[in-house]
Amino acid sequence: MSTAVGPLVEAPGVARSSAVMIAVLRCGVALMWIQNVAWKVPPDFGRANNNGLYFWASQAVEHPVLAPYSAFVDGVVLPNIEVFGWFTLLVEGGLGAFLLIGLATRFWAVVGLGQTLAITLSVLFAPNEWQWSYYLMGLAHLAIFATAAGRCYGIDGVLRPTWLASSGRLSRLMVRLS
Amino acid sequence: MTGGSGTASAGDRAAILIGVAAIALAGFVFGTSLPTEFRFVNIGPVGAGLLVVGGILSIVSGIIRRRVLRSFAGALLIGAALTQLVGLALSIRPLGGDASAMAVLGGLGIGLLSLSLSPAPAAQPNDPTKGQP
Repeated sequence: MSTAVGPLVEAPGVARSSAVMIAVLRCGVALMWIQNVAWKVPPDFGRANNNGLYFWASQAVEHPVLAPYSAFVDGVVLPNIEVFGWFTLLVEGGLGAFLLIGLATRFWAVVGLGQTLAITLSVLFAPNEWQWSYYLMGLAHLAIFATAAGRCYGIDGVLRPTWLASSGRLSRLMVRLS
Repeated sequence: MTGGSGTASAGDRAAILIGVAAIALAGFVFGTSLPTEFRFVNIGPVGAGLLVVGGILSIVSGIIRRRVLRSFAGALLIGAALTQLVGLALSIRPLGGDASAMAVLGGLGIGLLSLSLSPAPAAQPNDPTKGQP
């Protein structure tokens, strides 16, 4: 098929079956973030009981992957886990929310890559971890970026024609982020 | 677009899709018996009820092509997400569940508001030959 496959798809040349699979990939990754934001629990994010986000962040110090990152976590993140915990909660909640609906999808794919890198540097060498989990997380976000997955059954696909036809700043920005 | 005749636009269809997704995700209120591996969203009865109401409003807005109804549904869901966010900060869970419920409610609400606040697609140029015998 050489033309857009439907009104909810703004991806010329993409077959309907491929568009559906791209949307499934995007929504699946969104659900991963949604499920995993659940255990980021304020206010202390696990500091009192050495569990939750505090425990997993401390793995960067216990089992260092990259020495400068471990020093950063030890000296800055863990003493201020309440601040970084809220940052993590909002970033991962945003990843789940925006990837689920496919809005500004390419931007959020880059955010997801960054967050995946931070997680990888924290827990790659932790006991009983399967390193390919983190490699696959990164690759999934690369695929979402490469396919501009929000254009397939996402809000990006619906609104891009309007953004492209507009000369407004916000529209031009959204064209780049989608 | 505040309503009218003709075929449904992409925005109308997207609103229906989001509404269906909202109702489907509300089903996770029954997910407490699921193994953890499949419990993607933790949401309580209040949050699930709001998802169902928002979903129904969204579907109806797509069918009858009313942007104002879509805006209302979006605002309802975003309000619920913000309530959950404040609740998390205060260690209370007004909607039940946890931050996963906030992400779902917020995402669907943002999607509906984006659809309702975006400018209407440009009208097709009038073709004087159309409708002529």
